[in-house]
Amino acid sequence: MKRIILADDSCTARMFIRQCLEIAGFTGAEFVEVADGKAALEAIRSGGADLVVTDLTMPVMDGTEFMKRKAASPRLTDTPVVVITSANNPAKEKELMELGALAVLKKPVTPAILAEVLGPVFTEEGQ
Amino acid sequence: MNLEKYDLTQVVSTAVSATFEGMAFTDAEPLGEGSFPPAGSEVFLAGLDVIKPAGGRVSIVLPVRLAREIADNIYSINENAPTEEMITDTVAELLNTLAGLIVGAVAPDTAAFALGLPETSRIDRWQGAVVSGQGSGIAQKGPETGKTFFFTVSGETLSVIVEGDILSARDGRD
Repeated sequence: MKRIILADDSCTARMFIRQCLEIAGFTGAEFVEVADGKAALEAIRSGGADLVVTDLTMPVMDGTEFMKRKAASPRLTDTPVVVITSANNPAKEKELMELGALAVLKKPVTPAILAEVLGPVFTEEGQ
Repeated sequence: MNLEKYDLTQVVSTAVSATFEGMAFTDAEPLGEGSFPPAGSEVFLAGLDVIKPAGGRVSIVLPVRLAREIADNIYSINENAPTEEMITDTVAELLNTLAGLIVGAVAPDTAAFALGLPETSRIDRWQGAVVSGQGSGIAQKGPETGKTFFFTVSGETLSVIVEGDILSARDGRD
């Protein structure tokens, strides 16, 4: 079973992304919902993660800081991360991609977009 | 300020369609002429400041019935109906997404932009007035200082108010 961390301070956003992921084919995954980047790091360290989907603007620890901390930790660098934000721009996207983001997506995401981004990563190993 | 010259009416219409079709799975049709919900209605009033690349504020007035319907869709995975807190959060997330699309379309590709946090309030007896004033928080007060756009969503009227320097993109004016 895939373990997917959803990090967003909005419970609606987490629920919406979860719906999109399930429609995209990630049914039966274990979804762990957290409200900020710090809690996302703790969730990965405590139970691992096959995928992290995170917002950019969050209290306590935002998405950029989360990506910096993750990039600095050899244990965590392999975990794929998709950043979803309403406030995107090319400079920020470049920074996040350099920090190891798999993709930076603008809200609202769709199941089709998530399937397109995540398909190549998960096809080989299956669901 | 280096905002691109876009037709703001088109920008807002595109953003509203993308937000409501994408998140709420419902169509949003622009109304050439519209009006705020009648006085006494139950509405959510939500606004957020635009900080970069230009100052401004984006606000929405959304009937409670519509907000509840959208939240029901999003939280349909849950066995229980969404709580009032979830419905309020849904309104905030809709506004956040909508504002991001509006500002992203108006700002040049290279511009960094930043949005404030959504402020959301449920009003049980709407007075039919207009939100105004960047950084003013949630309030019903006039006179109108921004540009208001009206849409029909699931048989209800959605009002979108854009204020401040981002308005200069309207109709291609500097």
